[in-house]
Amino acid sequence: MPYAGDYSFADLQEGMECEREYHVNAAVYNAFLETFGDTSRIHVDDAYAKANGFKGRIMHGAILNGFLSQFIGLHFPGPLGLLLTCDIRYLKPCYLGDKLRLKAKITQKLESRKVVVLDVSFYNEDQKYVAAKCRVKVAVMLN
Amino acid sequence: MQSEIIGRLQNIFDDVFLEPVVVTPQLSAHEVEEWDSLIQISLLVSIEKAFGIRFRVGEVEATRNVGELADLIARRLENS
Repeated sequence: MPYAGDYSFADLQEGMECEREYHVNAAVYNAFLETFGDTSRIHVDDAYAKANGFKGRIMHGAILNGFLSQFIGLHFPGPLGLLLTCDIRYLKPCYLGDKLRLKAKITQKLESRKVVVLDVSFYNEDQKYVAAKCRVKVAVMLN
Repeated sequence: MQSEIIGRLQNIFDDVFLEPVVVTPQLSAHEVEEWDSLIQISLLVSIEKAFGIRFRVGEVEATRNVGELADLIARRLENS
């Protein structure tokens, strides 16, 4: 099977959960810097970040959006899923090398529009806290 | 019943729309620039959750304004 998740709208039920681990490694960080060019000091300068109360340079919150996109598109629901909205709150910082556990739960199904609502959290396993929470709406295509 | 439901819809519209929208029975989607298909999904998600109902495929699209939507909600509440 080419994808870990391959759910149709009928397969998805309220209360279903799925989780997956992601790694904020140097390859992801450098690719983000290279692609989008956000070299704001807080994201590239350890000394500056420490002077502002952090342990070191903090990772871009939008990296988490990338992980979420991969999770929705390949795993849950998978290839039939189309991310419509994402209301994300970055609660605490992530640092280079941190491992994150993305946990998602279906909280609502909109039968009339074939849309599911997911509550998602990013637990930072290295820092031992929830780094971000978001609520997303995903359309589930027919095929 | 309709006016009570529209009062509750006003709270939902206040949460969903960025710009203030005054909800009246005559209000329809084409009168509000921000009211596109994504906003419609957000409205339906919030309405189903707030009222504890489920719409059937196509029935919301058949309503012409907020008053008819409120009547549809009332019917769903009676059936639940």
